[in-house]
Amino acid sequence: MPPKTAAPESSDLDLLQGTLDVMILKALSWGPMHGFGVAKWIRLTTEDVLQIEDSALYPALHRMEHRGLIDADWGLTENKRRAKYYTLTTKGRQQLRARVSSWDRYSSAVSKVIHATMQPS
Amino acid sequence: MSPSESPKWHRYLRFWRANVAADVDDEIAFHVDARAQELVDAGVDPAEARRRALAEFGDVERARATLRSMDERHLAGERRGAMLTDVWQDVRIAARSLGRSPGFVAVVSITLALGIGLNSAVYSVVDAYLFRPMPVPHGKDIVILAQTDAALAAPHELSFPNYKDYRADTSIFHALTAYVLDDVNFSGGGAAQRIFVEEGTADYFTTLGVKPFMGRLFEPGDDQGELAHPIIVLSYSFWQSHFASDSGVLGDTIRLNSHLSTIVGVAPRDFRGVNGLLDVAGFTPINQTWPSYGDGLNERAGGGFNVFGTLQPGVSVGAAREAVRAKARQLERDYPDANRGVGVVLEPEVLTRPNITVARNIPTVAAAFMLLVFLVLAIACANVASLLLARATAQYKEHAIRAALGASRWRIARRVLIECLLLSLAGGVGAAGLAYVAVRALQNVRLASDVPLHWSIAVDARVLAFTLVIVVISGLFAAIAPMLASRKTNLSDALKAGSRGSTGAFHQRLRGVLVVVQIAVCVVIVVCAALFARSTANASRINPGYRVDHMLMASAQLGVQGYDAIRGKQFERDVVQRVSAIPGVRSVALQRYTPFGYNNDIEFVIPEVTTVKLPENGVGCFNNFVTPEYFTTWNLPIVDGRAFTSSDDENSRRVAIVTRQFAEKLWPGQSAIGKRFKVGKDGPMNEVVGVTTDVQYFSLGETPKPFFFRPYAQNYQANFTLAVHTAVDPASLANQLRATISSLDPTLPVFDVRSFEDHIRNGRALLGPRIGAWFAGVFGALALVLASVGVYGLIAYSVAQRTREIGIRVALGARAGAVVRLVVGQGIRIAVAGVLLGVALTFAVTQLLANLLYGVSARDPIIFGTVAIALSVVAAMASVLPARRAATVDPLVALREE
Repeated sequence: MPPKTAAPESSDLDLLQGTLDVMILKALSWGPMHGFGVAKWIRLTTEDVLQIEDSALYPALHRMEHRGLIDADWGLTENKRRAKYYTLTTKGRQQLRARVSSWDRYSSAVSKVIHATMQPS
Repeated sequence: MSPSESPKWHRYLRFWRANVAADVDDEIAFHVDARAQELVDAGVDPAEARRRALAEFGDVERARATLRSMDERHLAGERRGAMLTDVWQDVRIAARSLGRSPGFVAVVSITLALGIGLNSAVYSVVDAYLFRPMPVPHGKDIVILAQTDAALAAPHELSFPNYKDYRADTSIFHALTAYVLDDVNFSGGGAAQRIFVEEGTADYFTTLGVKPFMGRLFEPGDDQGELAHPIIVLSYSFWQSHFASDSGVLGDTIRLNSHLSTIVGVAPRDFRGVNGLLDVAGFTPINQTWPSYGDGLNERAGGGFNVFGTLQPGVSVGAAREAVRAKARQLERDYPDANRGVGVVLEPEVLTRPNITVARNIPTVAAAFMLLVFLVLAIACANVASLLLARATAQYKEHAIRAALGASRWRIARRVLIECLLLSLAGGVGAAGLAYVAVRALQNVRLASDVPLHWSIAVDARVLAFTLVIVVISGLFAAIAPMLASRKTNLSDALKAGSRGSTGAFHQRLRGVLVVVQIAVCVVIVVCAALFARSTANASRINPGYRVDHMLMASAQLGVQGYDAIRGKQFERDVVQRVSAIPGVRSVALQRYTPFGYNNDIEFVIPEVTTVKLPENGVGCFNNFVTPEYFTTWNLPIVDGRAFTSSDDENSRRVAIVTRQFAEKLWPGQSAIGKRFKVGKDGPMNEVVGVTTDVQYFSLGETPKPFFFRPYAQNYQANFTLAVHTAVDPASLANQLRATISSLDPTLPVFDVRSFEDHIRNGRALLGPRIGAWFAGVFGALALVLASVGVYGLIAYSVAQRTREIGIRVALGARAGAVVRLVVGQGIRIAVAGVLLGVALTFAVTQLLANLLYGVSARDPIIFGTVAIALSVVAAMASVLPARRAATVDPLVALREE
């Protein structure tokens, strides 16, 4: 895996803040997870297409915690190490549903446009 | 990177409160460690794995800083929110807890209401006369200019020529205006009336920045030429009361004195003139009412013109002061005769209230008053603190348990503070009400004179804001002692018997001394109040040497109405004749001056021959002009010689009647009849034809002074007061008297129609002592309430502290009576100490009052005795309540509680 020293212009896709939030919410929808877990899940799921810097992930996590979308608590990993676990709150779950449906509408609209075969009249 | 630079045990502080920095460090460290482990598991060399993990993370330091500041901001916000919730919860708890002791709340808030209310009332006066700018657009910039004279103690008004010279110096003044407060006879519409107007130079309104409510104000040139522009601008209140707010009055003419004047405008509602004392009826340009100033406007040695103005932009008051002083010296050089020793003072308007001639001492007096009432408030707060301490001691166990359950000391102290502030707020509400009542009472003070006094005092937003500040201050002040006491609370103290923090014997003794002093001060004030009340009662029964009852009076001014001496004498003869014919009238006389009136005249008398050495300039004597019926009307006996008769007229030799004192002073041991004296160095000789008894004329209870009378017929007076001796209640003839005078000249205002008894009661004679007695009474009541609360608080606290001791006494067989005696005895000891100290103080203080008292000794034993006993009884009563609580102490409960 290449080192992620990427500057914004080098990424294929501009990572919108909102997109990162949705991905975090989605990651946590599987259950409580620590920051490393969230980063790993996104890395594996996107197959490294999206280059997320870990240093950008944590401010997003903390911001979402302050907004009440996720809860944070200290817990132990399988290796008995203390780690900060994040859990989706009810508010966060609602947010995820709303974001997913609006993303679907948005992406299908963009997709229709860029794959359009009909010429402008 | 090491997981953290701080020792591991710091983590456990999180149990009490979040440690933001360590949390952030741990989270980042865990991430990097976990990623490195993952790489190691995939076969990467550990050192290389760690390097790559860090590189993948990005800028660790920046992330750390960002996260820390994010979390700290969030945490601070959360704490604030939690604190507000806590405070609100404390407010509710405190309110509920206070609600369970309504008696306690009542006593404390009444005490505070008295203390705070007194401050608010005094502040409302001080604010009105010392702080608040004039309610006109340029109010803050107005300065006052006045003249000083080497021979006079206080500054006085300018002469018109001097005023014009100051105004001409435009390097100092942007505008400079002169005005005179004058009374004029007004008729138009209803009954003729004497009104007060301010006569100003044409720039009067523009200097103030006042705009008309209706019509126009003065225009340049309006003040030029005697009676050339006879106009008047009505005040809003006069327009309302005398013209029914009719907008059609503009252009109408009214009669002022003897001439017609055109109404050109109405001033705005809140503008009541520049003088701070009277509610004026209108404003006229200078020299546009008759009698005009004539030569007075050119008389440099004269005076009488009030001057105010605004300074040029950029000129400070200090610089202006220097400049006008230099100008004064120049004027002295230019006009050495008129301006010898004449200086000038310039002050911001706010420092010259109510009038520059008397303003010098006002700030000192006000400061002394504010200090005094603040002291009263401090005592009230100390008493309240004492009550709160007693309460806190009773709640001691509750606080200890709360502390044991983890409530911080600050949290417990905060609840005490909130209780104090709530009580103080309740006191503040009462205080605002009290201040309102006090100010209303002051506004209702009326002089025995038809002068439209205006009190610019009101309980307004400024006074309420002041009250709120005082509420907070007194709440904090009263909270100090109980807060300190509550902080000392801790579990081990509470569980250890008898230990009670360190509110020790010293503090208790200090409070004892404070209460003793309160009682002593209370004795002083109450005795003074009683002395004043007795004195006033005595004075109102006094016999001044002439008739007091069944006398009715009325005044008029013929001179300004355009009467010459011939018409005036005729009018005065007619009025006596007509009034004598009113049924119920016994006799009628004219007099120039009225006893205890606001006008009096002193003349310097020089006898033709005498055997004693007298001052070269003559003997200063009060005097009066009267008609022949004067002596029978006032029942003033002629003890030697004869009264005036109708044949003492302008064609016969000039005569006078003198009092015994006068005769004794000028011709001791001789008969005064036939002796002659002149009034002033160049006056004509007057022959004494009669001697009358001595009279009190200036103040009740005075030692009679030399006094003489001259006949109206030989000394025409254009102003007179009718003295009417009636067979019936004088007030019942007032309207008829007024109507009879008006029937002779409907345009002549008749004023000050009132009985002589009213004149004495509400006039110069008794108003001062009555107000003095009233004030002393209010302060006395206040002192009494405070002292009682003080005794109560002290004893209640002491009982609360001694509960255990009392419990032991009861357990050992002490009866309820013995316990009550024990507690009340403590109260009585304090009361007796206070009363003794107070009596000693009062002896010293009342000596200063001896001159003000009439018919009562400054050491009146009855008053002293009554007050001493009454106060001792009150103090004993105040300790009975806590004593009864002590008597009901259940020894089992008392001992277990400790």
